[in-house]
Amino acid sequence: MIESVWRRARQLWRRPVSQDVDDEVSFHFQMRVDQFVAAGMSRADAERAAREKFGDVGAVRSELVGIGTRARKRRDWHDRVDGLVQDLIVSLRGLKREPLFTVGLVATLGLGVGANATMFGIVDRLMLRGPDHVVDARSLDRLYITANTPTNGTRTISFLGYIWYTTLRDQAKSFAGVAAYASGQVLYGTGSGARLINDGRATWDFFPLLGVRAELGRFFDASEDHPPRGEQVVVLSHDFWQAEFGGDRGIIGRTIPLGNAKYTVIGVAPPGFIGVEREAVDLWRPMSLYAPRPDWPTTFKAQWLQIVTRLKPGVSPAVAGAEATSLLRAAYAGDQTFLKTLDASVRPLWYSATGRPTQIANVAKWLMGVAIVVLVITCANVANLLVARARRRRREIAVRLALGVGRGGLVRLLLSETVLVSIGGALAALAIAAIGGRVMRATLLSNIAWSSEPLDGRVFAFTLIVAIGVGLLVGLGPALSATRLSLTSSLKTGSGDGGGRRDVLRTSLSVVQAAFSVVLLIGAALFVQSLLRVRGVDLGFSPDRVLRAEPRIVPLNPQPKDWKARNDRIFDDALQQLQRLPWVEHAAVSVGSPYGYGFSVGVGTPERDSLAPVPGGGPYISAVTADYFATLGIALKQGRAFTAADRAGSAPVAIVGETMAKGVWPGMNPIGKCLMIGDRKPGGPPPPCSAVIGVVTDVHRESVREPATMQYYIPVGQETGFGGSVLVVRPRIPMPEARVALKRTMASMPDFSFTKIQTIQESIDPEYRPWKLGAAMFGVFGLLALVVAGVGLYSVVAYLVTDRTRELGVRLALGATGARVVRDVVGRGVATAALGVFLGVIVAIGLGRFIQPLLFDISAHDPTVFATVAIIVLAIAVFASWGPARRAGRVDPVIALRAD
Amino acid sequence: MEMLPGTLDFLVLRGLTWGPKHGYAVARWIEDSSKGSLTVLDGALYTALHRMEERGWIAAEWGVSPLGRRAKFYRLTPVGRKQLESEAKGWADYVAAVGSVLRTSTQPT
Repeated sequence: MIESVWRRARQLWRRPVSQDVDDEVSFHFQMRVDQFVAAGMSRADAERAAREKFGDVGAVRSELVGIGTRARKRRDWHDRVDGLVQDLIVSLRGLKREPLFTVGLVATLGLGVGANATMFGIVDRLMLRGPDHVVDARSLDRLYITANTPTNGTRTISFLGYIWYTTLRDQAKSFAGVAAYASGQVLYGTGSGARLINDGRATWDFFPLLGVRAELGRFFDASEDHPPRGEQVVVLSHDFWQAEFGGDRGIIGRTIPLGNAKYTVIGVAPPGFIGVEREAVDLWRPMSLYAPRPDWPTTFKAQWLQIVTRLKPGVSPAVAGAEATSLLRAAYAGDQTFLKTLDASVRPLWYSATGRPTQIANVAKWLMGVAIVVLVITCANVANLLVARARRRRREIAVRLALGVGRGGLVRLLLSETVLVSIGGALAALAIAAIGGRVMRATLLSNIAWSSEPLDGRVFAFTLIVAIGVGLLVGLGPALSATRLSLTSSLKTGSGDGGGRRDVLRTSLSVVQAAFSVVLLIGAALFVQSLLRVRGVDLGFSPDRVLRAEPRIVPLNPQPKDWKARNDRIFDDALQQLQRLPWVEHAAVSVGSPYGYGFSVGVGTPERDSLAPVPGGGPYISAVTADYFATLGIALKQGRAFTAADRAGSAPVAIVGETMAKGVWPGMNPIGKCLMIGDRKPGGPPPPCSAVIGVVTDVHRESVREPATMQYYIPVGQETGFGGSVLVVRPRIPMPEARVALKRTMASMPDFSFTKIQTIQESIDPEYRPWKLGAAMFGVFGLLALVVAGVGLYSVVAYLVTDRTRELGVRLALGATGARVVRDVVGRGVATAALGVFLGVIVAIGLGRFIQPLLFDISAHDPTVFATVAIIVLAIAVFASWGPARRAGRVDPVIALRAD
Repeated sequence: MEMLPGTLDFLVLRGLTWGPKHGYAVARWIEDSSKGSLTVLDGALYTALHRMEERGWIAAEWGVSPLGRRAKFYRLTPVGRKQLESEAKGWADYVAAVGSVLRTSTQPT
């Protein structure tokens, strides 16, 4: 079929069009001349007459050549398309003949490319691509300051005050735009239907800075966002608009209840717009509606918003940072040294609030690397399968060559096969990316607002390009080498003979696969160990058994003078009511708790005015009621806990954490010592003594990985200068039921408008995510690699056995035992794997340095992990070699020698 | 007699209905069957042949003439046959219409 097509094409090429035309015309002239001569003309007259009868020979000739050339070009193109279709049909038939091979190839490619596509989708979303609806995200940054604070040491943060924003907005020349945003929660609705929703606050210039346009209506403008207080307008997110108002386009101009006020809806944001963070936002309100303190537009003392900047073209981040540094230093008129010496910098939007690439981003980067390793293994395996197939088809190919199929045509045929397989692989990969992306988003990365489907256009393009690229890359080699056959030897020998060089190739591929699976499995084991250890960290309390209720008190209008006393009384009543409930084991009120609010006030001892700072900052103070330690599960080490008698007005007392006890009174008994708590006015009297009555274990305040901090506690009611009470409850019943019960109880209390209820565990879980992600993905990829490598090794050994059937037969005939042969064959397989393990271990040792920062409490070179993985891989090698080896041991010498 | 425009293609197709012919044979057939009254330049005939080959109305193949010379033979393709039929009908209608006009005897009012 193809052959005839080719022959036809080649025939056409043989003669130029002009020659055809000349032949035809000259034949015509001969006939005409003969005709006229026969009619009695002289030869010369006849020739003249024929020319006259023809017309303008030159013009006709060039017209005919033109027509012919045009026609031939079109025919050639048709032939080429025909040839391609033919190639594809033949390839498809060939692939259908070997379904196992085809499925193996498509599945391997699909898994390898699919894993990459999945990871690409995540990395792309997290890091490469800016947030949705943002124009030119590359030039957007977040502003960070690095300062040496007296309470927290040197820290980089992005939380700043309004004054920093106005300073940069009005004075900086490096930026094309500066805007500020903050996020929080706001109560939406009224009565029992009220709930907290995600509240985005932004300065009016935030939206033009990002380049986002409202889907409906408009975003607020400068006339609605201005200190000291902006207008009560709101822009709904697309999702919120759909969910709450069914996408009613008449929403513009209506009012909705937010907090204790009514807001006019002026617009709806486009779908998926969530600002520049990765968290969901339900609505946007003017920044100037949120006043953390009365002097908020001008104070340096409150830091609640983040600043986003757009660099002017050609301005480097370093230059912009330097300008911001000098402007912000100059703007500060107070006497805090750290604010006069701060350093400002601009860093990418996907950095964390502390100015570093987020842990998740780090892990995702690594996983992208891992996915590439998987792809390498995949390539090795696909190449392996193709080489094997090329060998099986040596005779077929030799026959085709002998029949005169051009080498080019053969390569094209083999390549078209590869392209078909690549397309199949790409389809499988797309399915895997769609499912994998969904699963990963739902399980491991559930805290991120994705705002687009896992399989978007970019992932789609990536998948196709990689699949077809890989297919061609690994398909070309075998295709070319298959056609470089010597005809006679291939036709003569059997399918199982020869090909020594390709054995080397196949064995090397196996070694590479084993090596990479070792690397991946070591990675997986290190992450699993990290996860186990991080989960095993003693936080100093039991987060999984504690509910925290954060109620809002119904405000009185006007606010009474003694509002603090009223609040304390309301919380005291609520606590007593809770403590009477049968399902409540312990309950307490606290101001400042782990993974909640943290407070720090001046503290000293009679010996020292202030305490030496420790790396983690602090000391941190909490005001708690008697049962607090029992509720959280904090162990009392020495002395006594608070009792109901320790309260406002009673003798001031304090309980200190172990680190604080050791730090302040080294080698002494802290019980009975004096702590002077409170900010001391310059020249004023020292704060009164609080007697230390007990020592408790330290708790982690905000992170699983944090250095020990100084902590101390005072009774609720004795605190001054800080506030914000929450209720903590340790239930006797399972947590989900307790949560419902607590919600109901809190809702029945008339003084509270709304209560946010959480377990402390919920705040901690996100911290485990990077390790969970690492363990899961390294694990999945590692197992995948192991399976692929195992199958690869199996096929290598199996081919080895088939190749050497005759040799093995001879050996068995000469008296070698079957067991001996089995041992030899298994030895070959294991030796291959052992070389791979060795190389893999070396690579893993080399990479350890880079992965160490992502691990928790385990060395990247942990010998147990390395040894375990090595043993597992070698065991798989034994297992993979065993089947073919047993077949080798049972070879019947007579049959073996007769074969082929 | 000069030929009316558009009729050459029609005549050539008609000439090929009895089987493959080379260009010279087609030219002779037109001359003979019109008893020499229709004259057409040979160059125009070949242009028409090549055009129709390009359009797919006729197909060409190299062969040997009855006198043993290499010649390019043209034959009708199914498409060409259909074309011929439709042109023949159009021609007949045209001739009938013109004829009926010429035969008419009434004075236009």
